[in-house]
Amino acid sequence: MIAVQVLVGAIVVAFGTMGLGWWFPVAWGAIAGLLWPSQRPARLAAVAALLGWGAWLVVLVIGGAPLGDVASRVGAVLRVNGPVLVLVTLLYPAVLALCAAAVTSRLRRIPASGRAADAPSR
Amino acid sequence: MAASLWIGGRGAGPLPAVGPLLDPFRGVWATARTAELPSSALARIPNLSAPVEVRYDGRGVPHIFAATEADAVRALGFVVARDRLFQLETQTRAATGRLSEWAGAPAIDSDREVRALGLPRSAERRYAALASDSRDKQVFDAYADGVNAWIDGLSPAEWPIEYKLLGARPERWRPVNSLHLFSRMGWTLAWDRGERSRLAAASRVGMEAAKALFPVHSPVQEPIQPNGTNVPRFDFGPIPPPGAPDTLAGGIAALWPHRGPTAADEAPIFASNNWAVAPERTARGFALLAGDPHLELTLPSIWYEAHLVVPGALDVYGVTIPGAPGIIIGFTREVAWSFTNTGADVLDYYRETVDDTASPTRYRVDGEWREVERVVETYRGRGGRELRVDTTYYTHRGPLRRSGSDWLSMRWTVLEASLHGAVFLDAARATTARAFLDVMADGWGAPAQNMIAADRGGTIAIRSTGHFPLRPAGTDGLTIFDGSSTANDWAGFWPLERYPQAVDPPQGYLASANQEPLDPREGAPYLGHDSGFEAWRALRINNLLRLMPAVTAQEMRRLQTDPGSARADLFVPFFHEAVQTVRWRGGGSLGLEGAANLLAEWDRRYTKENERAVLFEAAMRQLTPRVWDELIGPDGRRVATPSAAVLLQLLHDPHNAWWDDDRTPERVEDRDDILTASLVAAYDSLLVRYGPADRGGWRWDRVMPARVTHLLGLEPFSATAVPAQGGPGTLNPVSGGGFGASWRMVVEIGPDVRAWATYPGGQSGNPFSSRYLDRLPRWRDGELDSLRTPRDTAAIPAGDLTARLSLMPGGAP
Repeated sequence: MIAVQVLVGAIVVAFGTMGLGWWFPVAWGAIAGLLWPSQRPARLAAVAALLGWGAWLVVLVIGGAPLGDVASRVGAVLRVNGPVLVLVTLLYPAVLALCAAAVTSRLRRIPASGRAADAPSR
Repeated sequence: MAASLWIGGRGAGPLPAVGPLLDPFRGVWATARTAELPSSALARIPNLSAPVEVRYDGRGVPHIFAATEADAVRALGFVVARDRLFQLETQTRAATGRLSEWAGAPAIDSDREVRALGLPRSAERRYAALASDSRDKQVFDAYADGVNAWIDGLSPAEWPIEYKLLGARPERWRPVNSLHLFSRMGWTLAWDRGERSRLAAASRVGMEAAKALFPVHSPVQEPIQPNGTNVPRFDFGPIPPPGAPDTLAGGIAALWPHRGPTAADEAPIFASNNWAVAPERTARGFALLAGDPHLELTLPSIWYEAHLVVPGALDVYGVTIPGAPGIIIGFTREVAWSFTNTGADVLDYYRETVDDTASPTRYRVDGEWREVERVVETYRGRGGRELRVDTTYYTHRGPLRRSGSDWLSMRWTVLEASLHGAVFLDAARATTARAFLDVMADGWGAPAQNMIAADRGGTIAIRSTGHFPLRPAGTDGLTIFDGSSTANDWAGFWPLERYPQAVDPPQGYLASANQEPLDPREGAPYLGHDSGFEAWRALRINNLLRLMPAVTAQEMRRLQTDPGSARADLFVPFFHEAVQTVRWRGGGSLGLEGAANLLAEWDRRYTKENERAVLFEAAMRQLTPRVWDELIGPDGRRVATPSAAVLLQLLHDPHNAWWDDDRTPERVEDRDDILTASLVAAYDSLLVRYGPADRGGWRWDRVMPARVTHLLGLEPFSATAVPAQGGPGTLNPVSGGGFGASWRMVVEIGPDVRAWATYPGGQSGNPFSSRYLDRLPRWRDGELDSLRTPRDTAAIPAGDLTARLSLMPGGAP
């Protein structure tokens, strides 16, 4: 079940990024935090975001794009190694999604715990 | 999360916004997806009168087949933007003083200089002055149609990678940008510095010596316009010894504006070669033409290769500069042509009398006050933030700038000479070399160029073309004029018949290599002075061509990277003579013997594997400060450096006072002391830096490789150590820097035109494209590609067809 959720999430992130832009993993994380409150939503959202962006890189490679060349030379421009640039590209959406999911997940829990705390006084 | 979002959206410090940068669909990764042109594409261009077909050949050259010239220009704009969009905008921003909008405060000095010179203002005014129905305006507008059609159809994923790294987006192309491009070229090629050098030298050693050190006419020369002698001119008269400082000259020199932060005598020297051989001196009996303009070597290249075909009207192949609405250097089936720069003096200064030395509003001319035009210039940084506001001033002559306590206005052909937008198209219709030169003379004002042409009928011709000022009688432009009288203004420009020119000379060939166009012994009027004119390449190419009775295209190609050097041939014997003299005096040393032996083994060629050329060059570098020590100013820097031709002149006078080194008051040196000291110092420095000779460290191509640098200076997108043949003063003076042959072309203009060419780079501006740098190996090795000139789309062999592009009328203007 978790695998399916992550896979669906990755697809959502991939197409969401295509349609809406780089910040989509934030929106995705926020939604995941709301949808999966009891299933470690932050981690799941992060993995899905990583896979979503990673999928685009795989598509580029399959399409014959010189991804290694891009990684090494753009990495050199930014003063990082090529593999590090790839890693950062995969981790960045994951961090965004993780943070957003953690926030919304916590926000969702706050009213519930608040209600629980209020119950005896009623 | 906030931090991640902030860095993602805004970046941090030098780091661009990483969100859009890393976005796998639109960011840097997507650049790889668009690295190669699709095999087939369809696009729309507004105002197109009929469909245009474009075929890319195996070298990535677009062959454009259009129904009208205007359509061909629209398509040219489109294909250039498709391959070189970032370059188009970079050039425009550099020419209009808007680089700081990308780079922020570090670019503001360069932006201020461009605007203070009035370059963008002059281009805007010239474009605004074009009649709405003029052909020139139509050409500029058509080109803009094509560029903007490409820009408008782009998604962010398709933006060139540089935009992504800068966090910028492409700006739409304005028709006036084509004029901005040529203003910028004028600044690069028509900026004269010899006048200031002479005055600065006078401030140290007096005017008499300064005039000899910075002569109007180079003491060594072979002019462009043949003088019938078939030998170079050597005027080696004595150079007056250093005299008392001329304080007045020093004051005037201080007024002379510097160009940017670089000292005047450290500015890069551009060069170019072109030559044509008449049919009677070629092996196949057809005229041959070669051209290689030497400019800054950039990636992408300054040039873009294209072929425009309009049945019955136009069939022209060659290179354009992105932004130029036509082929600048190239050939048709009737005529071939190429340019070198004319180092003419086309800039004068006037000391103005102003009403307020802090902020002038009026200036006095002929006893009356005239209004100073004031323009407020705002410089913006990234995100549109205002960085600085300046006021620039103009008189009727041109920009007015403060220089010390004075105000100088400047008149400069680059600011006023109109470039006819249609000149390249009109010239491409010419069917003879003479007609080509006449069209160019009518439509090209600045920067002045030595235009050479050869035609199918066998005529070869050359003309130094541009606007050359007619100055007041008795003046030569080597001083600052009094601005209070219009009698000191230019009276116009030289008439065409006065231009340096030659057609079908008896010698059977014509050659230019930026040398002085006219022989001063023939009473030539003032055109410029020594510092603007190189001699060595002219001597070499003339010498080689004189000895070739039946030239082939292959030989023309080989000459373009000829490793021989007239400069070395003339200087090296003096080093040998000096060594003999010093040995005889008993002043030998181990170092001198070692250096002398190595120099004696040198064949005076700058081949890649040569391990002796580096010694000579190091000795020449040691020689300059030793000889011209009297020109060192109070700040410890040399105020100006005489040309190598003047140094050669001095070598013929071994006991001239200039040879004495002021730093050794206890003795008086002569020429041979200084030459041997320079040689030994060079030898010692090379040993320290590269180890003993003959162990590979002294190889010419390792010590002085060529460099081809990305427009933003990004090393991963540059070729930083290109082993190349050629050195200072050779026909391929590429070594050790980022300047050199930016395009090499050889054309045989017979019944069927045959042409070969290449440039250091590739057609694509995308660093990940296979066509970004594909031409560099053959350029490095001095090889040329055979060019295809199909008459129609069917004439391109299927095996050589790499991409198709159909352009249809339509789309929003």
